[in-house]
Amino acid sequence: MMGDRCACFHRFGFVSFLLAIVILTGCQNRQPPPPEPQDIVARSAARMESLASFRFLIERQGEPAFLDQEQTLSFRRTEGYFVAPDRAWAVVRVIAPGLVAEVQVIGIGEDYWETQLLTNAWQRLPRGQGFNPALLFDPRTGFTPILQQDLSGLQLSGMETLDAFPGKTFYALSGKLDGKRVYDLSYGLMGPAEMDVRLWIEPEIFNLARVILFEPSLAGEGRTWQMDFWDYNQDLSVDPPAASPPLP
Amino acid sequence: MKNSSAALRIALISLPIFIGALDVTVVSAVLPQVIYDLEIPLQSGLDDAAWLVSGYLLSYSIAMTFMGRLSDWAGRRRTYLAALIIFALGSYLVAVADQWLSRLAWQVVYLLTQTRVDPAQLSLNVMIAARMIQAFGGGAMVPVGMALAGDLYPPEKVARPLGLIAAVDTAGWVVGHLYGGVLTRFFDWRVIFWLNLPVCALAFGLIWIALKPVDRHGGGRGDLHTPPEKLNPGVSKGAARGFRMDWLGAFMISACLAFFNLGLGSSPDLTASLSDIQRQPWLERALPFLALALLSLALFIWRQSRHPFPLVPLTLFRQQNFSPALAANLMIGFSLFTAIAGVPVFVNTLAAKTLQQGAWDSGWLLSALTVPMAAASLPGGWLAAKLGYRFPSLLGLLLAVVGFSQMLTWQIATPYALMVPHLALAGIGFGLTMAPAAAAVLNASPPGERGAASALVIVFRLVGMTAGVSTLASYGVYRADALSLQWLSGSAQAVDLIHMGMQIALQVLHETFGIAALICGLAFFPIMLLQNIELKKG
Repeated sequence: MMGDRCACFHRFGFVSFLLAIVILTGCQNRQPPPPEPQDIVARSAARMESLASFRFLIERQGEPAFLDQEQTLSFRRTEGYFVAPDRAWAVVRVIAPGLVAEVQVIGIGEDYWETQLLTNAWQRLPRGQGFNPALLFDPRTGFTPILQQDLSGLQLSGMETLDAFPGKTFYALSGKLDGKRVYDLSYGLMGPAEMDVRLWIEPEIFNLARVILFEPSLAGEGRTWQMDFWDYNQDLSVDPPAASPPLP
Repeated sequence: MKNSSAALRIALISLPIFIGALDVTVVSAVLPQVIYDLEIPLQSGLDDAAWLVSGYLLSYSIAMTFMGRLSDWAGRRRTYLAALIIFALGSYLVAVADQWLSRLAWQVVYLLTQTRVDPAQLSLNVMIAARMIQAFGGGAMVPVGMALAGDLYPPEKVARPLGLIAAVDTAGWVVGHLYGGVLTRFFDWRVIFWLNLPVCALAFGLIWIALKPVDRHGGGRGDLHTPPEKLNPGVSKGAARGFRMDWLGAFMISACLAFFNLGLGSSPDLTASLSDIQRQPWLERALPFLALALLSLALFIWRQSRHPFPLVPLTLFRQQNFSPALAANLMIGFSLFTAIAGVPVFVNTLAAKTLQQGAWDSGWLLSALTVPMAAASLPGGWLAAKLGYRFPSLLGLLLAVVGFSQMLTWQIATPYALMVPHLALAGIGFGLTMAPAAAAVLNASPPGERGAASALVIVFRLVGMTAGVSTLASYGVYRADALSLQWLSGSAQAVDLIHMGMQIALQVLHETFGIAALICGLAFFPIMLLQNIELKKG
């Protein structure tokens, strides 16, 4: 009698244990599924458009991307910050044969200033000339709307971490980007052929942390562009340079 | 100990000393390629990159001031091998500085400060730190080697091995730029540092075995030829009984040299604005550091006069000829390194078409300076023995001044063939002066203190060299700023920037060569103070 009661008690315990596992597993499964890749990108684009400011870094690896027709000056990296709606300051690093140099640039709308290579003196350039970072991140015509509109074949590859953003996990997405509009926007540095794209977007707040564009090349190793964004909504400002000679 | 085995040990310890000295100048020829590969911007990073040379010289000099004395306490073999390991570790760290080491440093800086530093600038800083580690080991081997010579040879015979170690050290930095130029013609510049590792490993094994008997016979650890009470007569035997390392003194002399270097090397960025330069001129930037250097030096001297085991026996400075000869060595080091650092700048900025060609051209062109210098040191020593110190030294300084004056005529289109005789003239001049100036210091020292005296000759020359390269970098950048603002003001679009940049570089180089000639001329004064005492035997 005692043995039956004991066996019954054990059986009850085992069933309870199984039940607990099923309930816990069920609870885990009830986590909301991740949004659709297109939805993640759309929300991220909306988030970027709503930001008051952010810092950015654009870096090229692989084949050079020339800034001049003579193919002597190639773009290496630029780092700076954007202040909505149309102001940006950046330092652009360029590589010439046997020489690495930096110029500072300021863009306010379509107005553009850059420092001279040897004297560091500010000079204002005519509209349409130079590497204006303000136009690059214009909320209407800049990189973010292009990302939203010209992306295809988007896939969510899972959650990933990035070395440059310790302690954070991101949605990692991949797809293809039509390079025509990026070509115009980047002063001919990127595109115009279709590019492989990877994006890392922060869950819940949808901050865009990193974009990597890969341009395959028939001739060489190809070219990789990495863009990082951070320090969102900081108190930053961009003003015209204090002293710059008038337009030539 | 038999003479042959002692000579073998001296030969063995000379090999790493040679490699360490080689790395003093090895970077001067390949520096433009390193700057380019690390992507250091011309405007903001040029004066920082000069620290790859001056940082090495600084750390090398610092190690030389106290590591010999440390080996009295820790043992010659142990200290020498530790220095060798530090040198090898530093070489490895330089070779990987812009690779995993910089990535790791970036992560650490980000975790500590939450700021994303420029990877290029960080790579440069990591490499400078690695070069300084390397230099500390390289510099430490010299005085420990000299102290070892003091253990292996009796006082009357020690001058020859000491001279050999000093000559090996000089030979190293004399051929360093050529070695760097040749290697980078065929390989990546990192190979220079990778190659140090097998040499160090081999040397470690051989020296480990060769110096075992020296340890058994008490090399270091109080087995000094000069008892402490003799090193500092003001201290009683009782106070000098147990050896105490003067760490505070070591700190003070290190601080003095570091502040001195920071002061001379303080400059604005290459593209500082006129208001930046006007707001804080060079002297104003340099003065606080130079004042701190002077204060540290005063404290060091005060400390040395009281410590029972001084790092630098101050009694030496009371000897006839000692101080003027060291002052001459300092000035020679300054002028010499202005040429050693200036010629690669000239070649890379104005003559060479590619950086690789620039490294190669700089390497062999500098040999036109250093090989005649090494060759002329023999007649310099011979003339000093026959005619006294003054005549060959003054003749040498005169030739060096004439050589530098000819270098002031260099133009962008000047062919190398015309530069060679000018450099050779300066080199012969330095060679004729260096040997008598070093001999004057050695001969002014009592036999038991010749190790310390030999080390001081090298330290003073190194301090002069460090000052030379720092001045070249800071003055050069400062003048380039001023000239750019003066010559390029107004319609910048119409100006051929590259051509104008070359003209500015040429003007700045002319001015620095002029300064070198002036310092050479000033060295006439301490040389005139040298007394032609009879040369001592050995």
